[in-house]
Amino acid sequence: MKESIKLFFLLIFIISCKKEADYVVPAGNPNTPIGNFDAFWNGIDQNYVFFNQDPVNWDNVYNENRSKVSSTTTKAELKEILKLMLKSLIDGHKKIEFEDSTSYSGRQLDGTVLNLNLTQNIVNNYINNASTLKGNIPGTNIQSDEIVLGTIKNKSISYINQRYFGNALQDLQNQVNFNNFVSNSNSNSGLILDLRNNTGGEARAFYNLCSRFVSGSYTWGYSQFRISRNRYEMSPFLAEKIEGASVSYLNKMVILVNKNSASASEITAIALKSRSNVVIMGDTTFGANGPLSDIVRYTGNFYLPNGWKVTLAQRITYDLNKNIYEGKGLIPNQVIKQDVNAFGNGKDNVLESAIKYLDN
Amino acid sequence: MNHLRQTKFLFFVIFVIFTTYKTTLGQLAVGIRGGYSHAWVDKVDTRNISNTKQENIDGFNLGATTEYAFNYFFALRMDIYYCQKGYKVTKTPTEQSPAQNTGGLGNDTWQVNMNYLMVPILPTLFYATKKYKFFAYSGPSVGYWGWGTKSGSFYVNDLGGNTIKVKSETENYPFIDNYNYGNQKDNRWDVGATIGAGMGILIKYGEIFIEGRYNHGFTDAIAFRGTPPPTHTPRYNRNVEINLGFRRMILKRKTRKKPVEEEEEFNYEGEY
Repeated sequence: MKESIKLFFLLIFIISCKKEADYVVPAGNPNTPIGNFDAFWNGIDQNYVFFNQDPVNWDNVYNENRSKVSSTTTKAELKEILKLMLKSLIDGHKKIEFEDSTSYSGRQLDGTVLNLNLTQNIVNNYINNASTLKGNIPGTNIQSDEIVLGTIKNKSISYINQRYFGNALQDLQNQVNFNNFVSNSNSNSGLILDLRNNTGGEARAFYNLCSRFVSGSYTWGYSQFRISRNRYEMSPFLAEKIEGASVSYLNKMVILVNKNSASASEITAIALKSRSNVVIMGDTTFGANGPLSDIVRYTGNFYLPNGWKVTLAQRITYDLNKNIYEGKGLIPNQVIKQDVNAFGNGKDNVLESAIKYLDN
Repeated sequence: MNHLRQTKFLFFVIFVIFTTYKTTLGQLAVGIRGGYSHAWVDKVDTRNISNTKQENIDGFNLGATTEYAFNYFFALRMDIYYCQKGYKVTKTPTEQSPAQNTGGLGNDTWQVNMNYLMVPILPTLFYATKKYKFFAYSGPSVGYWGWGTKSGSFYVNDLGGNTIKVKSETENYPFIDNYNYGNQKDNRWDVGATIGAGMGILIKYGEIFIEGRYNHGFTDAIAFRGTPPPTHTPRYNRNVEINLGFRRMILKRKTRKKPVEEEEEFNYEGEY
């Protein structure tokens, strides 16, 4: 019996010896053309979140471009090579910033539509009692009219134009004014949230806005981020929720978007489109909805040895059905292209469609 | 892939011989066994995420065992059992993202549970007295990753939300047969080796035993159809088990009379 007891404790001792797992700190690349190229390729290889969705073969991108780089490659030549590599990715937030403060992000907004002064036209021709809430333009200290509020002329339809996602709704007086407007809108027949030409901004502003259009704890979609160097190993789907504000509008609502609706404005449309009272109208959005920030401990940003900074989305944003819109954009429920020629005469055909829908 | 097929075929042949071979030379015992499993992988590549540490996970295993004793010191054993394997990664706050960014709260963790059906074939040496039996074994094993889960617990806020909180999610492991441009897939087969030892108490109707075992996977859980990229880190299963079991003899050996002095000490077959 003594033998068996000794053996039992020996087994327990052997089995309780844990293996201490090791992990590797990535070795630095030298500040040479090849070193910077490798750092760029590896940085994306290790941080990019869309490998499951992106048709681009990142291994082929390496093979096709590595041979173009040698110790004699100039900085200008390397810039062009890296730009080309970056361009191939679907990430709408991708960007490389160079030492001369120039940058490259691969895709351009639609200049024709962007140059239309939609807000001014609406204030002049479509709404009464226009008021504005000022907030900083994201990334700057410049204050501007972030939110324009009003009522459609001769209609009981509220109108909100969120021009960008700054800090307007962090201001207490703005909160009071906005809440009053939202509360009063409940007696109207509908509300238009205009996000056209809104290229995004702070995620917090997205949350503050959306919290006025939901009640209780509303799950609107999911997000995922990378948890290992294995390209395809992602976190579980994390439910994204919005807690409804004390004042909310839950009646008939149209959200207007266009090709220049990007990032936080796209996410707003994605978040609210699953609500039964909401209809999305306009043109397909830009397709950059993997947020840049708001992950506490995970970042997709990295530096090359020469100081060039590469920015990537940190999460994948999914809607409630786990669809993603990165690189392709959200197609509205009702696709209505902006009539640029008619706009020259002050006619906003997209807005008019929304008014007609809500008026019925 | 040919290697895997050959291995599967070899296991099948051994299984057929082992379960159909009726001999007058030995004894066949069958039973159940189960217990604690302590698992990890070698290793998870978390190089792009700072302050991460790989950890082991706890689970259990349960299944059937069968053993054929050829003589008084050598037996061949085969088990078929469910075994929980997998790994866990913990991320602690960093200088760039210190604890205060998460309200001074704790670590992020994520875990992959890999549930295997294991079939080890174990040549076993044993020594038995009147009451006790001591044994040790080692041999090949094959496992099939039948299903699994991945779960995570992260200190994050909802997108744009103001309150950092723990978000915990668990979902079924999404086996993918065709990713990384068709070159990569989750490898559900695992060929490995098992080594272990234990002791049994002989009772009237059979044997109660306790054992410790180590399983060492030789197959990368991430398979490539071509050459793996140079940055790839293979991921091998490892686990140790502590098991309790019971075996009952179902076939008696009838030939080869033992010396009288041995019979006094060893009454393994006669007690059944």
